[in-house]
Amino acid sequence: MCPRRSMVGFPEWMSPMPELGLTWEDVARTHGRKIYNFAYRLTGNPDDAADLAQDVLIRVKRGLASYQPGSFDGWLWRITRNAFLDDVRRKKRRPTVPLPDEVDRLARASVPAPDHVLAQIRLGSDVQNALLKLPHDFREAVVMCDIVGLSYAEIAGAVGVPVGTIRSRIHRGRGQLREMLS
Amino acid sequence: MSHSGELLSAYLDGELTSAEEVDVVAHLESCTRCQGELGDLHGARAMVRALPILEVPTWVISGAAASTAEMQVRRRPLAWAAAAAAAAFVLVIGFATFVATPPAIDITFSEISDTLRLPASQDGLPAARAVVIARTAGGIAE
Repeated sequence: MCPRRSMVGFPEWMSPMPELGLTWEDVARTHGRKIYNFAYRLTGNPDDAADLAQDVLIRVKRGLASYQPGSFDGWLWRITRNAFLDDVRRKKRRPTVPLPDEVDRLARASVPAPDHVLAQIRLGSDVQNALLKLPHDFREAVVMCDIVGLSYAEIAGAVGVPVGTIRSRIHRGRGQLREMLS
Repeated sequence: MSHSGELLSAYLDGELTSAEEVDVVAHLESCTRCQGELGDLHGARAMVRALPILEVPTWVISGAAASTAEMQVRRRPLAWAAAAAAAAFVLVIGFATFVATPPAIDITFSEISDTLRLPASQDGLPAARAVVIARTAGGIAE
């Protein structure tokens, strides 16, 4: 329906995904950072994001042998999404104390960061906190669209809902973000 | 006049069909409310897209690379073997405990003495109690 957008904020070499002759190293190199950023924006916690990204890469390694050429992004992001939901379920059973956010951690650093860096981080931190306040379905759709750079059809394939549902979630998610950040 | 609503986000993302896009563009020309909403949505999208892209910690990929498929496959048989061994151990211990434990007998020394027609001992204890105490102390079970 629409041409695929280039990956948001990612260098060009990370975008194309060779579907033939796919190796785990290819996936780790081209998608590892996207998976990590997706996990970080969904959880807001770098340690959780790292654990989740590693879990996804291990699942990909196990699943590559049985991967049938088709929608690689749909396959990969279904794995990523399932790993995230499994992690959420595990954490509900064993709740943990959240880490302080990035601004708090920088404020405690021995050498203070320049003002413009702090302001940039504070804005980023505000956006991150607003993202975390979104209902999960909206946050997931917005992050997959605006951080990972997937098309609506790819998001719908990964999440398992119609494209119209994704369209609505992204729209409502952005609307709520705007209200929280204005 | 119906407003564009959620078509606006899809318009920003280039996710509309040609026909939908024509309708949205035509509507936007005359609707200040939808123009304002489009600006708000664009602002929200820009803020999310401006979030910094973070590097993956190196241990994430090296750790995943070190975790081989063979390790994952081997883990399962080992886990099943451990579970089976644990179940067998519990069964053996349970059976041994059941066999080794004599059934509890709720009976008084006087009743034993009466049943066996034993005389009372000199200190007034029934003879049965004296016999049981002596044999228990010596580790004899009868």
